[in-house]
Amino acid sequence: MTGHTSRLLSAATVALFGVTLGLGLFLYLLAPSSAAAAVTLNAGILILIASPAVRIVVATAEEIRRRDWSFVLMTAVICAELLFVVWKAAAKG
Amino acid sequence: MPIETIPIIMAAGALAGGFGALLGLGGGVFLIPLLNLGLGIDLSVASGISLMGVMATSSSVATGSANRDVINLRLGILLQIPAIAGGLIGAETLELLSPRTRSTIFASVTGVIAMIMITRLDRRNVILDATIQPGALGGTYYEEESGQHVVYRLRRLPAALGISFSGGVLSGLLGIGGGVLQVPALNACCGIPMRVAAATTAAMIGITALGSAPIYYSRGRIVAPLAAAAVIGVLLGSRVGIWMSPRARARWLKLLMAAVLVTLSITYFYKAFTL
Repeated sequence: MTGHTSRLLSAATVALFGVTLGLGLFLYLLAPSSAAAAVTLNAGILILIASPAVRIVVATAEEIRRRDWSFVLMTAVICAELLFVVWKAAAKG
Repeated sequence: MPIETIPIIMAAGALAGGFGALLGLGGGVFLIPLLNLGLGIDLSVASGISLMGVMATSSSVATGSANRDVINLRLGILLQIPAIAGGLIGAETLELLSPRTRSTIFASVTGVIAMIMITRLDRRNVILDATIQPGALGGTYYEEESGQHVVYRLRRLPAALGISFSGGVLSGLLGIGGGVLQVPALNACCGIPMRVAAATTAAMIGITALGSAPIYYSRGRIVAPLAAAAVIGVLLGSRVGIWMSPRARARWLKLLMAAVLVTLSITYFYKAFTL
């Protein structure tokens, strides 16, 4: 089942941002103003923000394989919207 | 921010994540009042933390297998198209509105949804005849309450799209997942059974949040240590919520949801008048 792959990948991203944020928080509690804490925490936040995007990309790959074109079209629109959002965020940052 | 608040925020995250996963919400609607009213954290900071919690709940729900058969991926993805656009608009409008206006909007919306919810407590959207075609955006699943496979169809697609757009706007404006609007509205207006609406929305709100999260991040509205504490709490709490979800009854879920909405409505009206 292809659903299995996406679930595994989702679980991996959850574990990744969970562990990174946990580590960052630990470092923060040890030394609140350390650069290591800030870098780790920010990395964790960025992985967290990226995690739903990873799910979309995986879902799209699966539907391309199944040749479910209406689904692929929907995810393509979503990806375009997300790129626009990131561009807006970068431009105003 | 004193270090002692970290465990408290973690506990708040666990509570919010648990209820969120159970009700198909990101938990933001619980987290924001807990942080804002309970810990005195500024509303804009609370929104950023909440948005991170919402994304964590959603990713966590997507890894679970408990609700797999009730998640309608096709419908969920379709509804994300207007939701992301709404999220972007919400995040962009945020600065233009006064906190008072935001509170009033939120209070009105939750109040109205609570009323819809209460009037429809015993309405069921499932069709017990399993031979009926669910259509492209409907579905079928095994329902324990009736002990058989049930079918549902999507009604009023434009309404569903409009609801998702509004959910997205709320998500961007307030830092919630938008589930608080989507779940009851899809249930009441579009023929989607409560459990399907909850599970599908829970898996999708992370994507809705993507419409506003990058904007929040780039404008420094996400306070990393506090967000990390909330996210870790949410991850733990949402596991409990996911475990409880198939064991909870639809009527009970609706009642709980209505109670939450009424509480929120009153809280935010109160805030609007005292700001």
